[in-house]
Amino acid sequence: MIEARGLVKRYGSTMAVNDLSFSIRPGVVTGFLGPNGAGKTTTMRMILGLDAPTQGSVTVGGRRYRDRPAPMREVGALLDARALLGGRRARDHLLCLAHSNGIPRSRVDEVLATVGLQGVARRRVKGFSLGMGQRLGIAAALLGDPAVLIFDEPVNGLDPDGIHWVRTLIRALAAEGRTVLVSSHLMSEMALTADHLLVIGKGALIADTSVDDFVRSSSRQSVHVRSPQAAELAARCRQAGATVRDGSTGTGPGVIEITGMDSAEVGRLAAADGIALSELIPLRASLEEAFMELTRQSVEYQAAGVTR
Amino acid sequence: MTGATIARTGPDPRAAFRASTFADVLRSEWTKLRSLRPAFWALTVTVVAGIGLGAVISAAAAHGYARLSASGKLSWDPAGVSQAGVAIASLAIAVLGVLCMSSEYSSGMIRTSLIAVPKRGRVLAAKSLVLAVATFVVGEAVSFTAFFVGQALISGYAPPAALGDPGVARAVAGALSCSTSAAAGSVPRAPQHAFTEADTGEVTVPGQAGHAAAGAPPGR
Repeated sequence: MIEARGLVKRYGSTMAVNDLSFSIRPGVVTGFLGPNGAGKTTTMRMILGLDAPTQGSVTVGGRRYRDRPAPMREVGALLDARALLGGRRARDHLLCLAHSNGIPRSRVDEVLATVGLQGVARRRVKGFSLGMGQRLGIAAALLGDPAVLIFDEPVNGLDPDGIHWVRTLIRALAAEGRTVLVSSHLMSEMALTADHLLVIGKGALIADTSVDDFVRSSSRQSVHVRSPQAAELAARCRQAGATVRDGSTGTGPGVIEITGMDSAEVGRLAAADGIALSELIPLRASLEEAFMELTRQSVEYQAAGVTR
Repeated sequence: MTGATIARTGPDPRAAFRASTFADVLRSEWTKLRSLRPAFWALTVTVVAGIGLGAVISAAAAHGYARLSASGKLSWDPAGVSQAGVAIASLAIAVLGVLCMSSEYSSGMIRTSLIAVPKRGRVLAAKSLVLAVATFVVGEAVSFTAFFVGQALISGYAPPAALGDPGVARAVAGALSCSTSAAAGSVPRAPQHAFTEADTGEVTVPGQAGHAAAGAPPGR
């Protein structure tokens, strides 16, 4: 359980994080989503005590991270996979971290096997690819077998195979009842990984919702129709209260897009009036579009707030 | 081993759950030092320069003793001659002190270290202490070995010194301890400043080697 209350971080005149409050529950994957520079990493750094909040507080399991008696046993974190000494061997790197929290040596070999790096355990990390570095960072996070896991952009630099592996691992960790917070700027990635979403933009919370609700609430669902009697159908739909616009450019003649009415209703209406349909397709905005819509709104909202 | 064990008896990490202690952090810092490649080289230079160079200079000086003038013979300092390589050795130790901390910052490892141990004072104290003890032990070993090797090479060609001679034991024991404290003291400071600190210590301290509190942990 991670809880933030009125979290604020200001760098000079820049508001990196603005009055953020949330609680992250165990047993589900919470996606932390926002465009680059939205304040995701800053928030994570504050959770881990690397930065002190200007105002507000954030606790892990009811205590500040800094006050946890054995931090790595309670919280595992991957913030920056490159934050390590290149000349050190992979196993030594993990050993340094394990010793600091009294974690037995045998656990180092366990996590190396979990992330599939046992073959390169004696290699110096300088020669690691980005993907291998990410795996090593994940191994470090898993060292203490913690109940809370925090991953900042864990799939960065991974190949499709690696992405699939991380996704499966993250889902498995949550299924074991752990609290998992994963940040990303890729909505499509979160759609496959997360159950719950925290969306931030310009440091402020935009949405705290389940992935399903998020898509439902922010997507404009519409129906794409092609018909030789498109104009007639458009008039009928408008009468019935729907919004109709001509199909976007490149779709050819006789195409309209209807919003405020689902495809079944459009079909019924067309049948009742004897209108022939050659295409009837329900359109659902993709998550990526929903996300962009939402963050755009947040920008507009903030602009309005200034003039008010 | 009789009877089949069915349940896994391996250590359960959760069963061993306990608060992280200062001893844990010390152990971690010791592992860091051991696995820091430049540290290995710095200690190698310390040993080679301190003992090897000292031996070469002792041998050369002893062979030249016979040709020294009367006043040269009067100021003959066999203990000082055998410690000639120690100056370079102590420079290597000072560099090691700087590297220990600056490598954490330049690589970004410090962020990982502080997530593992969020109490910053603990990390600094453990790093300083580990460095102080390690360099003190190596320093003393090098210093005394250089002394005995040097005296062995000198004897027969020139009057050697003995540890029991006035001031000799203190000079030998203190020869590297000053750079040990300089090295350990550089840990809490910003890396850019550390080189200057260590250099200053190097330039000013050897004359007062005897004064240096051997292996004193840094003030912070």
